[in-house]
Amino acid sequence: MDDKNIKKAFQEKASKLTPLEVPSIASILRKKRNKVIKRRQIYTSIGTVAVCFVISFGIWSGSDHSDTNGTMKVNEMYADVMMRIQPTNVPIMDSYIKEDVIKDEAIIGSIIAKTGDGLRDIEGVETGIAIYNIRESNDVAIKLDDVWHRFTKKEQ
Amino acid sequence: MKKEGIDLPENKDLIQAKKGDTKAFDKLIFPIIEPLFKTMYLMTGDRSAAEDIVQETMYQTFIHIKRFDPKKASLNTWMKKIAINQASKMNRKLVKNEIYEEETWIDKGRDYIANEEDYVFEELSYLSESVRIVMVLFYYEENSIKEIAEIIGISEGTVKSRLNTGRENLKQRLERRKEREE
Repeated sequence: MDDKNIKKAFQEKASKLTPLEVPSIASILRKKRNKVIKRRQIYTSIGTVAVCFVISFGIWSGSDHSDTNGTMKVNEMYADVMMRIQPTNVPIMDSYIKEDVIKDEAIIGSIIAKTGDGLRDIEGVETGIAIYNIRESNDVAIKLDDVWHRFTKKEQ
Repeated sequence: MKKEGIDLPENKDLIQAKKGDTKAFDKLIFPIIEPLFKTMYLMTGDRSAAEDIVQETMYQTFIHIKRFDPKKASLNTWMKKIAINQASKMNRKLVKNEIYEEETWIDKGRDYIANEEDYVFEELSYLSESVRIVMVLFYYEENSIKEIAEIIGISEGTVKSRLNTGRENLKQRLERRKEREE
């Protein structure tokens, strides 16, 4: 093993290499600029979504949910109720149901459907499941309205 | 180091490139790029990595061309320095076994019989990056110990020591290979 062999090995390898198509600096600069623009766009999109989320959350948490005139749309109210039913709220909902604050079977059913296993052990589950199937009907909307007022009253 | 035309302070392209003229810059660095690409390929063993390094080196050179002082170093040395730094930054490993096999044997078809140079190059790929850089600069580019020390930014003693390590390791690897084959 001598120096000549090492030199030859490098030269052989380099000579077999297909020549490089040398890019112009203008094209490299363009590529770099596009990359920066793309990255900025991604960050802007993420930022916009985050800001929208924060604003929406702020509006939602700051708004007065008790609609005394009963003009709040059923879907919005339903969404509000559902928003509050997170797995972390399960014990609270559990106590509301036990204390008869929430009597409505439809809402109980919805709670069960939303929270899954978390409420399996509480009272009224079976009825809730049965009623859940009819939660889309108009009658349920009226019941929801009542439940919502009781729910918010309890919170206050 | 010998002063070439492009390294003279009065070089028109250099003056224009320093003012941001992209065409003058292209003209100025064109003769340096192809050899630099080959050197980077030998150091990394990966064509696409070498291409990336060359492109990034071109970009960095253009951005910092105002700082380039032909009295201190040649443009070639300066760009090589940038390229080696880029290679380290990219954390590219040296020639990977799979890449080497793919390019040396598979591309040539089944009938290809590897020669001694192929084995030497393959074994070189197992040396550490710092040693391999010195080996490439010394054996392929035929730079002097002093020049290598200047490019990498290490002492001449370290260059000598790395060269010695490279030679020794290579010799041992080739001997072991021979024994395995026997």
